Amino acid sequence: MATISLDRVGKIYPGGVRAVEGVDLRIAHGEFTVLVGPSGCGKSTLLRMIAGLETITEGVMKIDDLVVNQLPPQARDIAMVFQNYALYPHMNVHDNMAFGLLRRRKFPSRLKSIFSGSYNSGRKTEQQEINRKVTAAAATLGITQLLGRRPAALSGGQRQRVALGRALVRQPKVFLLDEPLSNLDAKLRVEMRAELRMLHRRLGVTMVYVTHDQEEAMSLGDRVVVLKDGLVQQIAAPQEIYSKPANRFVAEFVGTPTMNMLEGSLTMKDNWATFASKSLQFQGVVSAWQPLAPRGAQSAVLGIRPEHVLLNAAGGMSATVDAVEHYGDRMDVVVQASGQRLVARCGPDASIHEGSTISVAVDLTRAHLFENNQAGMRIG
Amino acid sequence: MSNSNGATNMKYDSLRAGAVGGGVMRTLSFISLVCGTAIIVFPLLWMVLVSLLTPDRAQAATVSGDLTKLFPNDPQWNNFSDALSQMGSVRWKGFFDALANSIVVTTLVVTGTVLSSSLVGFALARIRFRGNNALFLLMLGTMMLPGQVTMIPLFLLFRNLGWVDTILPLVVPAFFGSAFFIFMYRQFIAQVPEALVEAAKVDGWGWFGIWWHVMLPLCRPVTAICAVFTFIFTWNDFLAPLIYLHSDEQATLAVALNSFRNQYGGVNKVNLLMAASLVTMIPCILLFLVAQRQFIEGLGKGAVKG
Repeated sequence: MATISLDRVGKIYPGGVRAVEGVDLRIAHGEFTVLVGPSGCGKSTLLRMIAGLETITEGVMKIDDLVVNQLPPQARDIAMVFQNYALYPHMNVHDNMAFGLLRRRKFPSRLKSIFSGSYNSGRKTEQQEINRKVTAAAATLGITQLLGRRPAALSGGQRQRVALGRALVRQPKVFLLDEPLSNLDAKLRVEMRAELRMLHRRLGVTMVYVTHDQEEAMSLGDRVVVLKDGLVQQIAAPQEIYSKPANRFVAEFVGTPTMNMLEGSLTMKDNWATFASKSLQFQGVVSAWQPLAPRGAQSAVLGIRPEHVLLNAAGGMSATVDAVEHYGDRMDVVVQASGQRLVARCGPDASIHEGSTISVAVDLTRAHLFENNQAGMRIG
Repeated sequence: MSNSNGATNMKYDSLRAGAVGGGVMRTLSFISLVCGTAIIVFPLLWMVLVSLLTPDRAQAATVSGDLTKLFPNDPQWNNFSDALSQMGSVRWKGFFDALANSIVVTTLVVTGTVLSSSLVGFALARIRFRGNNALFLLMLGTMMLPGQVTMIPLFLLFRNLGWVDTILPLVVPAFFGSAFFIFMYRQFIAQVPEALVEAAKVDGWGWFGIWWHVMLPLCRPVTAICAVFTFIFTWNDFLAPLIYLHSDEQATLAVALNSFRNQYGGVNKVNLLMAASLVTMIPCILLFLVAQRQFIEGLGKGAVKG
């Protein structure tokens, strides 16, 4: 079992800069957790705190019920894959992978074996065991043919596999991965993503993964932790993050193209919703928003995913097509309706041309509603 | 048409002028390089020539200034064995004693300097502790002190320890680092990506393990420079062995050469002195030729993506 629990964990740097604040997180055994957020949000700092490479200034962190706040990395039984791979350039791939295993025998037992005369035979079996583990890990990752090469002679993808192998071979309790795919080209990144997912399923170990790429986070994670300015914004499964974002930041951060946001006022009459934004007005039956009815007209932000903006819909508003982006399997269409900009997504065969006028409607039942303030919390 | 022809001619003229200018520059730089090489090579050549002369010709060439006698018409190869065997009071013993002493002292000093300087340089570059920078500056400050200032206090210290006429005063200080090489190691290690140290920590290694297994191999270019310079300095060092080593049995080659010169430094056997000096120089020249590739080679490639 390898669980990680963070209880009000925070990090303040000596200069007073607060990098991470009050993180509460329980990671179950075998869970693939992804920390995601824009650069500077504290996600890498949080991962490095789990690794023991950054000190924890607030809160309690446990790995398997053991408080690790003061433990150095070598005592935490973790393995980490670094963004720039951090392979030892003077060692070949085999030695890079074996490096973490060499130290498993403690000094006193080594000294004892020297005096008892079993040092050489002990060393030999130790070396055989290391070789067996390295070969097995290399076979898992398909890098057996690279074992004799130095890192300088490897491509980016191969180095990435070696870095993974180095983590794998030690069979640690927890795998920590710090943006491991960000240096790969787009095609390789997608391939490695699928491999990582399969590897996780096969090994069943606890993995914590850091990325700034929301697509990567959504595709890899069992659970996704969205961070901003050192604060956790939402912890949930990818589908929930997408369909029920906790606040405006999460809603805008996740999903491509970004969710359309319209500031305006909402009036509920029973379950009949009217949302007015400048000269735009959307109406419809939204039972989910009914609890908001007693508040009367209220300022709010309406969030609509591009796929929920309906083009050429009957009874829609008139809009001008500003731009059309073709992706082969779909089209993203940017329209202007009464001075408001909306992005819509539609099928690849829709006959829409730049400069033309079309009608636009919004499926309010699938829209999101946020407070119109800085926090922008979800209200419906 | 004529305009374009004129422009073309001008272009060719300027090209030719450039070529001529380039040729002159090349010739000038060639001549200056040849002169520089001659200045450096001449003493060496002079040594080789004198070491092969008969005593009479050597005397004529060096003392009487008759340069026509400088070229050996009958090279005396046995000058080398004569010179080495006549070093010290017992035939051959003086040379082999001095050679053994030089090898032991130099090996220990090189090992001590490389290990201690790299370790301290690593600590100053990578371990964050209070007073790190102050210590570094203090260490740099010791480089400003001329060696002569500490010579007498050091001698008194080593005499009180009972180390005079042993190799300890020459060897032990080397295990406490050399300010210049600590500085070099620190600057080099500061350039090594922090991720490598962190990866080694996650792999279960402590500071000593990281220094030995990761940093020292990565610092090969610096180690080569440190080892070669320390070797040459220690091998050729005359003053320290002269101060601390008093008996013939303890003398290093440089000191033994000096006693040899007192014996033969007169005008009649300068050829043997040159022969012995040449033999003493061989390890330095060989080492420099072997290690020079390391000066240029950098091992940092492939550590991180790029």
